[in-house]
Amino acid sequence: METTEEFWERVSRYREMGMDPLRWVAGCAVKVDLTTVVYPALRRLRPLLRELGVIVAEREDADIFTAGREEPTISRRIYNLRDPKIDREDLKRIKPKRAISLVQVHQRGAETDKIFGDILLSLYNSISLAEQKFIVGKGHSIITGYEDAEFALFDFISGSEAAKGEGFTLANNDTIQVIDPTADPGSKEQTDVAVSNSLNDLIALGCYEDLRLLPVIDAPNEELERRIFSNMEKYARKYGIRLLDADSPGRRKLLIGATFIGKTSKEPPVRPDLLTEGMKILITRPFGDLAPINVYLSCLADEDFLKKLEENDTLKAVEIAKNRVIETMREPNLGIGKIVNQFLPEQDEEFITSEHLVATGDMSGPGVLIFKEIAEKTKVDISLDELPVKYADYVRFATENFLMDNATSGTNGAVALIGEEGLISEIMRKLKREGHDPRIIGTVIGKGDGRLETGDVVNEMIASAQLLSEVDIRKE
Amino acid sequence: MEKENTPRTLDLTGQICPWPVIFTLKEIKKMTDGEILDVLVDHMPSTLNVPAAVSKEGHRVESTTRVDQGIYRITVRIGTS
Repeated sequence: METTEEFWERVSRYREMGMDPLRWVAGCAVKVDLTTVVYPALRRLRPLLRELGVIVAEREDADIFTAGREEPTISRRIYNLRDPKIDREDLKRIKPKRAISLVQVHQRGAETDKIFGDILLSLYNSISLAEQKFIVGKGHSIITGYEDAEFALFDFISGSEAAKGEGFTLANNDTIQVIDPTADPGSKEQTDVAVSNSLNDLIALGCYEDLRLLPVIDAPNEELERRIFSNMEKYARKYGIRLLDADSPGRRKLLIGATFIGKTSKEPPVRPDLLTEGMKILITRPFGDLAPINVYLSCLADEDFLKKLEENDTLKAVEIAKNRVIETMREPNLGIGKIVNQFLPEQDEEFITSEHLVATGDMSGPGVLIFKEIAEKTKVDISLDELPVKYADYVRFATENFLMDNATSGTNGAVALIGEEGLISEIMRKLKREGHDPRIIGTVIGKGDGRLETGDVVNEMIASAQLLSEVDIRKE
Repeated sequence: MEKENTPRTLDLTGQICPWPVIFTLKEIKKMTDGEILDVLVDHMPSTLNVPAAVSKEGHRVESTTRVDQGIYRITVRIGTS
């Protein structure tokens, strides 16, 4: 176990090597704020971008499109965010039909929806000069503390037209900087968590087959970049995933993740119109995985936090919890993907709500607020009766000390499943038999305004008043 | 009477949570009651978390002011909440 002194000595050693562990953020805490920045920016931009030939899909966990007989071609291009210098002929050759985007913006560029929206509009104005019409099926926007680390990455998808009966292709991109800022950034654990996290949105949609992985790797030096790539090769071999060549953003700042592409013959569970009163909400395991990591890090960095912790606990116990959650996060949730897939109809078959899941979600980034997103998107009201977190004491500590805005969030986290009560009970039994720790935590109240009701225990899990204002807290 | 003095400035621009909270509280430990600390941050959640954390520790947040695009100054008076 490291001491505070050793922690700071290690920080100094990394800094001498040109790296700054204090700029590495654990897990999914580096997204541009969806509610206040990304979604309002896109609402304003959608009609303008449509005029430029670019359609930005509504918010979904992944891009979903009908597959052609031939495998689609994926061409990665990385542009400067503010001065993209688009090669028009190159884009004309690619003829993209769709794109998965990853935008890394300096945090001041994500201050408001207006500032962020203007940056995106300028980028797409340049792209539109190539006169290509395509759909941005999934966009991922992250912040950086470094002004010289901005970029816009596009995985352009082109290829044969969709053919009936060939199933669906799903694609998603996700990244983290690191999962454990107190550990070696080139360790296999860090890469495993990052890659599994990138896959989790596809898993939530029941897609776990024919997976292809395009790495997103950036690192302060080439040696570290090679180690992370080698970790990805091992990961891909272990899980039978095809690893494709892909350029690095080359900003020399730590970033690990992937674009994942997979296929499924089933209808994905994106049927908000079928959500009805009384449907139950199941999560595949308790959430809040990032809390022990942040508590451990804070106690190493500052003895005052350690003293507070040691009033009731020990640093050793937090370290054990941190290592346990990282072990859980390393494993891709392929078993969950298979189970979700079993409870979906074949392509073009009808959803029968007594047999099929109608909605799912990856709890990784938003934590419990995923249910607010689902409620708003589907115009239903949702009530959560329980909020099971894995390490309640560390979630509370992180919240009380303002170490995390939202201590219910995770990385490669729990998956939420919504369906009729009998179906959810069946899935619950199945998950338990396979060694998972599922919980039924709430109910769809019925059609409504997109409200999320919870007990007041949520105050011990979310520090941000802004985020708490999105929840209707019951007086208990 | 409150001690008047030149504010000390802690530049935490470029830092992302939880570091602004940690570094602000560390800096405050080096200061005495009545002194003023200006904390500069550019990570939006920090404009809420830093004031909340220092208030909880018994210090007074005088103001949070936008000083440039995306940069905010949080002025804290030590120990006089």
